[in-house]
Formats: sequence, C-alpha cells, structure tokens
Amino acid sequence: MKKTVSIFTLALCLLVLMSYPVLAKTINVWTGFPELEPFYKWAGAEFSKTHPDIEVKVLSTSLREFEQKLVTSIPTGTGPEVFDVGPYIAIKLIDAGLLPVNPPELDSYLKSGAWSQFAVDYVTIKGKTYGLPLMNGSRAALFYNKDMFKEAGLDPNKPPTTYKELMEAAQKLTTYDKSGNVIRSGLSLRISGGGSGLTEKFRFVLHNAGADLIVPTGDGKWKNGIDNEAGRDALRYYIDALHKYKVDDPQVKHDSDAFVTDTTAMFLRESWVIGEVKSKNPNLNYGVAPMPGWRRHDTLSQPWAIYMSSEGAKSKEVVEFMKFLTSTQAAPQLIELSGWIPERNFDSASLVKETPQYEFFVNPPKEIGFYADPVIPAFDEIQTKIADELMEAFLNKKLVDNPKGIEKTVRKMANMIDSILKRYKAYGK
Amino acid sequence: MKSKIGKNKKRELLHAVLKHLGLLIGAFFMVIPFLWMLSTSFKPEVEVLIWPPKLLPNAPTYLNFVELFRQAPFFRFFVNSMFISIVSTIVILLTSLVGGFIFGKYRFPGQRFLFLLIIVTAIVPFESYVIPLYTTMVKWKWINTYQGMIAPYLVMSFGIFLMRQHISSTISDELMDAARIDGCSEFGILTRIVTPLCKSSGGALGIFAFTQAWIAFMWPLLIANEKELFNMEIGLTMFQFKFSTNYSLLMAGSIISVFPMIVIFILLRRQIIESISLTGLKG
Amino acid sequence: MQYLGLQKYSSGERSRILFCYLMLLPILALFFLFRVFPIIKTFWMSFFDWKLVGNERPFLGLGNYLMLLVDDQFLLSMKNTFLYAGASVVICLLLSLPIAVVLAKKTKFSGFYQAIYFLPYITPLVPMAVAWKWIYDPRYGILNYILSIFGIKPVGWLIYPSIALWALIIMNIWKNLGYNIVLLMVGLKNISPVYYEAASIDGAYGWSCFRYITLPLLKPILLYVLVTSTINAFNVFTQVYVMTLGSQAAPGRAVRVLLYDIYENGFRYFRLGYASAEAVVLTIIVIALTLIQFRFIKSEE
Repeated sequence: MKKTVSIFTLALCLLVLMSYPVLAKTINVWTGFPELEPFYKWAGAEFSKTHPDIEVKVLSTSLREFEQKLVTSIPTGTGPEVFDVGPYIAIKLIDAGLLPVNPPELDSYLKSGAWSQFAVDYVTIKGKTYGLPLMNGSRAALFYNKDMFKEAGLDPNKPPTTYKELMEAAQKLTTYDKSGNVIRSGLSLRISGGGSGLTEKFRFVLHNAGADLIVPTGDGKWKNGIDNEAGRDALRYYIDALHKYKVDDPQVKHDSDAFVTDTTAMFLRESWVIGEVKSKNPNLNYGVAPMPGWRRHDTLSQPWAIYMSSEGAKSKEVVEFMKFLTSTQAAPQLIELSGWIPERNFDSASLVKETPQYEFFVNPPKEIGFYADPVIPAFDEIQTKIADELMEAFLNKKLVDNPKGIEKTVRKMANMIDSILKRYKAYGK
Repeated sequence: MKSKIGKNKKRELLHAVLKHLGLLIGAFFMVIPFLWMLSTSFKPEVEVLIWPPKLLPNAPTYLNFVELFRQAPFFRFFVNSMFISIVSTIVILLTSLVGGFIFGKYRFPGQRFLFLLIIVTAIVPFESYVIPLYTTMVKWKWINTYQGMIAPYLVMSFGIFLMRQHISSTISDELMDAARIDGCSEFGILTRIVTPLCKSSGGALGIFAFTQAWIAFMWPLLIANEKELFNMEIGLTMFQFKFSTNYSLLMAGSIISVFPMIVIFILLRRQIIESISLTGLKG
Repeated sequence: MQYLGLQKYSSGERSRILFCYLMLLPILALFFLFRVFPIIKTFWMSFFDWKLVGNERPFLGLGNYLMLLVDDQFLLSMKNTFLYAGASVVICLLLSLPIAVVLAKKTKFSGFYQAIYFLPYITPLVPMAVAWKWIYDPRYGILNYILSIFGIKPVGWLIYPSIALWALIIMNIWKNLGYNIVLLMVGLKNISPVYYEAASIDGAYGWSCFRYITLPLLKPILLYVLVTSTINAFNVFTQVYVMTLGSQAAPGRAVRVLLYDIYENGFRYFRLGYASAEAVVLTIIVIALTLIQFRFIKSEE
C-alpha cells in the first residue's frame, strides 16, 4: 500500500512538473518619452511574432520622473532590461560600472555602416561602445512661417543663412501694437523655463559665434570656453534681440506654442515640431531651413541611445531586440508613431515626399557640421546652473550697448563653470 | 420702536448681501482654474491654444474622454488609485484615532518623547528619505507590489496630531471616569465613547488622508515597475511628451481624477458639519 | 516594571499604562519601519560624500554642512522658502478664519460654497500648473484682464523674479484655503453653543464674542492648522516644480525653494550625501519653528 502511494505521488509530481507552463520571458522597456510608447509597443508585437516566448512590456512616464526611477532601480537590480536615456545620465551609470559594454554582436552591428561615424563616436567611451543610438534628440533647425515672410516682403524660399540675416529678418517680421509692445515676435528665443534646455538653445548662438561652454585642455580635462569675444557676442545677440531691436519679448508666447498659433515668425527647434504642427495647426505654411551660421556653421545633433541592463545583456533575446529596434524595418515606424527621427541611415524618400519639412533633418546639407554635448558627468550640472544665470542676464535691460556689463556677466558665468569643473575634478589648464 | 426694527433689518440685509458678494468673488477665484480645465477637456486639440483663450469651445467634443481610455488603461489606473487611497485612509483613520486618544488622554513615561518623534517624522521631507525606504522595499521584495506602494501611507503624523487635539479638547476626564465607574474597560472607552464623538475630525482626516494617497506620485512611480500598478496621477504624465503636451487629454484625465474626491468630500462633509452636542456633561 | 520607574503608579494606573503601550505598539512599529529607520539612514548619509550611483563614499564628517554655508543656491533657497512659507501661512490663515466662521453657520448655499472652496485642494498639480500659467499670462491671462478693469497695468507675473515668488504664494494660498477652512470648521463646530448663549445673556456679541470665546476655544485646532501649514509650506516641492517646467514658466532662481534644491542635488546631480545634509538643516529649522509655535500658543492657555 505504502509503495503504491509513494509511486502515485511521484508520478503526480512529475506530471505537474512537466505540464507546468513555460513562462513567457519578459523584456521590460522603460522610456522617459511617452510619445515613444506606441513605437516600443509596435516593436514588441512584431518581435513576438518571431519570438513567441517573449513578451515585451513598456513603461513610460515624463522625463525627469523616469530618470529618477531609472537611477533608483538600476543600482538595486530592479530595473528594466532595455531603456533609452540621455547621455548625461548614461555617463554616470557607465562610470559607476552599472552599464554593460556592448557584446561583440552589437559592437559590430554598430560599426557596420548603418550609423554615421559621428554617431558611433558618440557612444564610444574610452574606446568601448555602450548602447545603440536610436534617434536624434537634438538636431535643431530654423522653423519659419512662409506666409509671414511674404507679408513682410521677404522671399519665403530664401530664409536667413547667417545670424546677422536672422536678426534683420526678425526686425521686419515683428509686429507691434500702438504702445510699441510686441504682438508677434519675429524670432522666438528660449528665455524662460530654466533647466538645461535653456542653455542648450543658447548654445545654438554661442557655438556658431565661435565659443563653447567648455573646451578640452588636452589632458582629458576641461575649462570654460566662453570668456572671450565670441561668448560676449552671443550674449549680446540675445540682449539686442530682446531690448535693442525688440524682436522678442518676455511677455509674449514662446516656443512651439507660439509658432502653431501664429504668434511668432521664426524659431530654432528640433524635428518634433513637425508633429506638433500637424496636430495643432495643420494648415500652417512653414518651412525648415538649416541653422544659421556665424563664424562657424554647425548644428547641434545629439543621438539618444538605447541601452541594456547588465542582466539584460546576458540574454540573447534582449540583444536581438536591441538590433530590431534600430533596424531599417523599425525606422519608418519610429517617425510615424512618435515623430522622432531615427539616428541610423534609412530610406527617407517617402517620408520627405509626404512632409517636405523633414528634408533638413534626414538629409542635412554636407556643408553643415555637427556638434554634441561633451559627454562628461559635470556637463549637465553646468548647463543647468548656467541657465539660471542666463535667465537673469536676459532680463537685464542695462546690458544694452554696455560692453563692460556684458563682459562682467560672461566672466561670472565662466568662473561658475570652472568651479563646477573643479568640484568634479575635471578642471585642467 | 418701528424705525429701530427697520434699521436692524436693513443692517442684516446689508450684511447678508456683503457676505454673499464676498463669498461669490472668492468662489469665482477658487473655481477659475478648474473651469479652464473643464473647458479644455471638451476642446478638440486644434482649439486648445487659441489666443486670446475662449472659455466655451467652438466644437465641444467628449471624444477626449474616450481617447483617454483608449490610449492607456485608465480604468485600471482609476481602480488602483481607489484601492490605494481607500486602504490608506482606513488604516490612517484607525491608527490616528487610537494614537490621538492615547496621546491625548493618558499620561505615561516617554509620552512627550514619542509624540515629538512622531511629529518630527512629518517634518522631515519625504523626498529626503525616499532612497533608504526604497532600499528597504527592495530587501523585502516589495518592489512592484501593492503593499510596497501603500507602505508609507499607512500612518500619518498629522492624523495623530489632529485627533489628539480634537480628543483632548472635546472629551473630558470626567466623562472617562464616569465610564470607568460604569465598568467600561479602557478599550471600551475607545470604541464606545471616543469613536462616535470623533465623527467631525475623523471626517476631515478621512478627506486629507484620501487626498494625500490619491495625488501621490513620486513614491508609487518608484515602486511600480509595470503599468498595471500605475495610479491616476502617474497616468496623467503620459500626456506630457518631452517638449509638448497633449492638453486636451491631460485635462480630461484631470477632470476624471478630481471627480471621486469631490464625491468623497460631499459624503464626508456631513460628518464635519453635524455638530455633536456634548452639553450633556459640560453643563 | 521597576526599571521604568513605574513604582510611583498605582496598579490601576499601571494597567492603564500597559494598555497605552499595547495600543501604541503596532502604530509605533509602522512609524519605525517606514519613517524613523529611513530617516536615520538619511542622517547617516549626510556625513559622507554619498553618491547615488557609485561605490566611492568617502567620509566627510561635517564637510557637507560646511559646504552648505557657502553654497549660494542653498542660501537663496533658504531665503525664498522663508518668504514663501511666511507669507502663505499667515495670509491663508487670516483669510480662512472669517470665511470658516461664515460657512460654519448652516445657511443656504453653505454646502455649495464649502465644496467650491475645497476644490483647489484636491485638484491634481500638473493640470493646475498649466491652468495657472494661463491665468498668469501677461497678455491674455485673466488676472491681468481683471486688473486692467481697475486700470492697473499688466503685471509680468511669472517673468520677473521679484514677482514670480508672489505669484506662487498666491497659488499656494488658493490651494490651501480649503484645507484651513475645513479644519477651522471642525474646530468651530465643536464649540458648545452654551458658551455663546451665556455670552449673549451677558450682552456680548459680534467681535468681542469672537475674540473672547471663539478664538480661545479654537486654540487646539488653530495650533494644528498653524503647525501643519508651516510644515507643508516649508516642504513645498511639487507645486513649485511644475510651475518651472516648460516655456512660459517661472524663472528658476527666483522660485528656488529648499526642497527643490535638495531634489536637484540628490536626483539630478547624484549628490545624495549633500542633499541629505540639506534636508537635515531644513528639518532642524522647521522643528525649531514648530516648537516656537507650540510654546507660543500653549503659553496663552
């Protein structure tokens, strides 16, 4: 009797074990761009067709909150397998050894010619590559309202190509009311809203004027690069625009919200504006031109990459999913579903045919160079803290035609940059 | 005599008119942002940014609300918010009632110290000890669980403080002694005498506890690793893209989010307003 | 029992004390687990250069605290927070008291008014910020529109640093009026009508009634409202944070409050030890203020 029972129990256990369903492996994808969620969802569904035992789950929330969640969960091992994040966070994770180096499969994929050398260099830290550039977060261009150009007697097919022309055009495009207040700004500058974004936009002018926030000192260290004529010129440009020529005003609407409501004629922004215009003012007659030049003619172009966690990198499926997300098959879906431009090379003919404004973003003219944020941990703090200084300076009417005042203000910012670098032990001579 | 009465009546009328006028102006200010939210939630996206802004939409649509539930599992978010808030409110009410009673009507060694400690834990900003708390949750494997999300919302220092203030000022020692003479145990005093007399402060506390849990954002976001655990507040962030915001959906979601709290408020309002007469003993 | 010094209590009292501890046990357990221990850990972190990610965490002793003393952003945050909290708490209290008195009487519409005044408190913060940015718009916002009716020139509410903080203070008062009113109504409702009857027999009414009967009997609730409003005002974060996002936003420096600085140092720059030290300083300040308020109101009993 006992024997029968024990055999029966054993058989039952075996039966249970055998029929235990093979659990679907889950790949968790996190992002700080809610607009990317449809793209990741699509990619997950497609991927499951060829990998039926894989389930992709997507989680998205607003950017700062996502970053906070990411940096809390990665060190404790409770994070996602795949995620996209900005370079300023990635560098800190890499420094702390929390992000894995690309396995050979991804490394060779990266260098297979699908990406420009610029993009490959961007994700190379100390000779090793991390992650794959998914999309271009920051390629900025000049958006301008063609109808307003015609109205002001400007040729809508000849947008300004230098910052000087930009200011001249802006003066013709601004409209005022009886008391002389700006109703429609000719050029909408980023002068509020703090954060590193403000500094980033300032750098559009700063860089092409010939300066950079920080410059390398040759020994792997950095120091400030704005305490010079170019730095002062850049600040003066904003001051003149706001207080001398009055082509913009703190009191009017700014940014994309202004552009889609016809309250500004021109502004400098990234490709996502195209999607905004489509949904909020589809009849707007506008064009996209390259960033104006000055002493230099470059535009900011910052890839935004996807990464794997250390655990995720161990899985074959996760690596394949990374490849899929950056494949030529996925590229058109990225734009269609989120409005962001893929970083890798892809066939953009049909996209440009349908929406010509994308032309500059996907086929930038060869004459224009690219620059990106220096990928060091200190940079984010520098950009954020300088933003506060800049905001204050922009509102300071006393700086008009005041070279000494401008020099003093710029020097103060330069010293601030240097002291932050020193604290990060990144300051060099 | 007659003229005096007439004068008094006039004064009363004037008072009433001024009072209502003042309240109305105040109410208008209170409500403006809310009216904006309401009107935007019924606007199609092309109308959202019209300047100067119009209060009434040209082409009002309820489609935003439909789209809301299509884009994200909003109903699930709603249920999660409800669950977390209700559990949190109940536990906070219980702990605050007991705590307030003990700290309010009893003397025991260490009382001052413990009460101060409890108040101090409310003074320290939550954001500053979030990380150590999170690490504890990782150790207990409470990440991505409901218990992990509710954990910090099970006690409320301000709740104990409120009940203590209320209880110590409305329940007299004589009342308690009378009960003891009648053979009531300490616990019985709590359940039979104190609890019924705390309806008004309990109602207020209930509203505050519910609100605190309902609009909780940072902690639930840290704990939830799957969308299924999101609450409504987190759900609303899904309409804030990196550079732009889908205002109409955001406002529609907000309206839905405010609604239950208004209901809770109306339900609990009666508790607060009804006065409980203690004249029986005070006389 | 002897160790607790309890021999001075009678046995009845002793069992009562036991009852106290027993009832408090689960509550204290929750506090210790989810509040006290994490707070102690934070306090501990403040003595190190504790990075959010990374393994190097050198001991600094009072290093973080000394750095705070010369940190411009910290000092600015301190100034802003004091102004913000002081103005919000005082003005809100002064406004809510008469409103609560009026609304506590069961007149027609009082329920309606109560709900309206409470609405701001339960509005989610992000859409509220968007709505307020529209209200504060210098050209088309409702606020400037109303002011223009009285002939006042448009104010750049969120543009100029000197005004921006006040714009946020107004928003805070708007939000917390309902909170104060509800609590004061609780307090008012529990003042037995017997006192008022006695007073009217003595011929007192109106203002003196309020001053000598209502106010003193409201003390316990007033203390609660004052203390909690102060703590909440000093710990303000989300409201200010959402108003500084995006365009048309408030200028960062002018509205930088302590908790925002802490958050940025901890989660943005990963300087957790430094942020913890800052939090400790904030805590000590608020504890001091709370004790002062306790002393001040209690002493008047």
